[in-house]
Amino acid sequence: MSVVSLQLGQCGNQIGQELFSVICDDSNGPNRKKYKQCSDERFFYETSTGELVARSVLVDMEPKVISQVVVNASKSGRWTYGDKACFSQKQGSGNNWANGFCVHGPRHEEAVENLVRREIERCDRLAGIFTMMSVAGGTGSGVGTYITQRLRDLYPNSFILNQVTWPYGAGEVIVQNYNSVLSLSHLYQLSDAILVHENDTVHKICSRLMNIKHISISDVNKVIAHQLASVLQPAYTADSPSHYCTNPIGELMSTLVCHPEYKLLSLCNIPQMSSTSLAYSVFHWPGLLKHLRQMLIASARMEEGIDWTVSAPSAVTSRGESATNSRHKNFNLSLANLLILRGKDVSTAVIDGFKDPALYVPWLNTENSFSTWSSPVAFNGYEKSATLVSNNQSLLKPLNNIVRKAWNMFASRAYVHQYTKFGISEEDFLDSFTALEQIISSYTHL
Amino acid sequence: MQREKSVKVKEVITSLCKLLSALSVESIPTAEAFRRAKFNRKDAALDMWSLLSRLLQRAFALDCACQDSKDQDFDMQLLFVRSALCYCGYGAPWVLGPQPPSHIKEVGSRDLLLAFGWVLSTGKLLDFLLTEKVYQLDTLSSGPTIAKSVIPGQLDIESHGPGVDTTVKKDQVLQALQWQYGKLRLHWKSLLSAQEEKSRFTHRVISNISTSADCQPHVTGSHHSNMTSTALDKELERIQALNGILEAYLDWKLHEHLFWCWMDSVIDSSLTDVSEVEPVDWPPGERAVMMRCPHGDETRRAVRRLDKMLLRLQTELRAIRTEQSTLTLTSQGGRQGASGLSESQRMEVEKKVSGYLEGLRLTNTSAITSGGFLPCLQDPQPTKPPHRFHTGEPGLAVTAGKLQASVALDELREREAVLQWQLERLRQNIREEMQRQASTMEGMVLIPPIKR
Repeated sequence: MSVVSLQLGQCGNQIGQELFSVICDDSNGPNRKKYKQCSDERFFYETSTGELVARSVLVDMEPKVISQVVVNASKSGRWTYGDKACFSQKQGSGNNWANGFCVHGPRHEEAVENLVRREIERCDRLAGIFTMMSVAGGTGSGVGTYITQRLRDLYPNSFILNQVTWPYGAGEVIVQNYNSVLSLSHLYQLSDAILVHENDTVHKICSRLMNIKHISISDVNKVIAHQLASVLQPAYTADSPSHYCTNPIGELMSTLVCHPEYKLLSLCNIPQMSSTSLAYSVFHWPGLLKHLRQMLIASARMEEGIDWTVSAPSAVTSRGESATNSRHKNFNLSLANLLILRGKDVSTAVIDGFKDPALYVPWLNTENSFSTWSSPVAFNGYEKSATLVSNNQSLLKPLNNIVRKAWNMFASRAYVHQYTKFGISEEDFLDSFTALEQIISSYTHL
Repeated sequence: MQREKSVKVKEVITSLCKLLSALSVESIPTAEAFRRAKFNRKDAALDMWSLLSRLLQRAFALDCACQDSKDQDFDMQLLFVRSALCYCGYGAPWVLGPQPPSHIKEVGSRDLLLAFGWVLSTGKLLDFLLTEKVYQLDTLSSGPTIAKSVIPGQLDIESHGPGVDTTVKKDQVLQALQWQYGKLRLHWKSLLSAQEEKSRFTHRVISNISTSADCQPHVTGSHHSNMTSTALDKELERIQALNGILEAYLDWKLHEHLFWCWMDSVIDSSLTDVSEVEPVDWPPGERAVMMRCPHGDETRRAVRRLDKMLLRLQTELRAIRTEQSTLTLTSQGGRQGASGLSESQRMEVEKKVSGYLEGLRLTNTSAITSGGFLPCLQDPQPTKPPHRFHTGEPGLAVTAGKLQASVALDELREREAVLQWQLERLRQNIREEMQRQASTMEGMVLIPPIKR
């Protein structure tokens, strides 16, 4: 019932801290005693003094970010990080995946494993391991991938959910595409599911929907944390309709990532707006669900700028008819969807729009492809909020871009020597490229 | 020294036998039988024969409905073994030759030993058997991979997705099955963690009770523990069996190179005796096998894919070069002439490259079909072991697969050299063009980039 989180690298640590803040704030809202109990059990443990300590291990190769994050956590007064839950070094990984994976990872594996083991043993029941990292840098991606590998070997029967942040397309780091390609190809085989956030998308949400003028990293992180918390906070599921689900990650996975070739998950959360406008807005379930459905079909990630011309293909006459015949341009075919509704009058929400078999692959019936979780408790200040976790083709385009850019760089062997000097050969690069091409082709031919 | 060596060889062969028996291969001869087989002893021939036929039956169990032929029907066995070996790409004269041995006794034990060595080395026979066994024992092992055939290349391409070839559509029923199986596995994992939690709580409760009241729990506890102990015992047996297999495998892997050194000696001794046999049959044997090989289609497809990848790499390189050249030239204003030049250059180069690739494809079909070369998409393991394995054993001249791996490496290096040369030529041309353009313009000074 408890989730052990692993915060890796700068991005992972910052997102993790925001996540716990959001969770704590949300749990401390009004009229939610059972909710708070469940949520606290899931994410925190109580010390003898009654203080909430996050079930989290912080890993970074530089001390700066971790110390900042720990300080921010204690500032809230409601929760802190464990004293001995941090692991940091002095050098950093230099945005080099090979440095993280081949040098830092093995060097510090025992220390990190001990920390994780301690957290896991503290849980009565492990719901799963939740890691947060970015794929562009060196520590989060390299060390993160290595640690995931070790954890997979040590806990083969546990669920591992990797939350990854894809960098800005315009590039923060020159070799970010190499790092992304290498991490994704390795993670795909190690983890059970990969939940993806893209910096570009979240940035747009901040600028257009939340009207933030000067977007800082912490704004972006807050949005990501909000979206993650809306998935991880307690909810009633199909398996446990009367009490809060005790196996959230397991249920998430068994509804979405059963097929070993399709593990990429994307997140959509509406509504999303600045807190000032929130007070003046009223939401209705039909409107929210209609928008969400169109966002799913048109691969839109935020409520603004949805392409309403894209529509689902008309009902196929026979089961066997291939979807390619009736596929419309830009239509986003889903493998499986999970809809999470939180807020007032959840039971009145009509979700039949999502059960349309035209949205899904023909070889899976709707009862397998679509599930709903709900919670009557309003989430994080939003009277009604809906989240869609989806295994579909929408990540194909950004993934293709990343691979294409990385391949262009690799074709001229740019910067490859930075990786080969740490032990990643060109053959490893080629293996990663083929693995990703495989993933891209699987999703394209869905 | 000799005695030490022979003892070591015996240990190595014993570890192989142990591994094979752990993998439930039947009728495994003793290490002594192997040694006798090397010297073409008659009594060892029968042992080797039954081993070979059983192994091949296991390897091909998924591909053909092989009857479990008992020792009576030797002719059927002979036919099966010969066709199986031919399919594997083994080109010994007794397999392929125009006068096949009419009776099983005509095949020497050394030939059988060599055939066994061949089967062991090509493809991933041991890995295949290992995964099959592990899958049987370890219920939570990751997903049902589509039955990988032992023969390199076969089924690997199809089973792991369409890849570049878009006409191959996946079987939808298979997809649905994989989905359901994955779901089952995930449910199982959840149940397992629930069970662990339950046992942890039970332990806590019982330890609390036992601290307060001593005698009572024992009576009620024992009945319950009897029921659970059978399940636990079974679990324990399974894990012990798994352990045994993995230990045998690791042991074998440690000593594997010694085994192949010994096989070296077997081949040497067979070569010294081979002078009676007509040498005519040997050289075309390899090529003949490849041409008669029924799975040529798949391998040809793999070759095509490899070529496509290469071509893509090339064209992209060229595109970048021409882009750069047109960009720099537009900045200097001399666009027209340069684009015309690069156009003709491009045509010339394209023609050359496609011609070369065509030639390569025709001559190198055999080289590329050896197992270590295929770009196996999903599974990272297969290409590696044969590779490392091949390059470490240059001595085994007979087994075609090894020789061709090194030949394939040379071919690749040649190709690389050719492409590099073409690249250099292109670069040179562009550089000259730029110089020429710069010299014609007044007031313009060209500063060439720093050479890498």
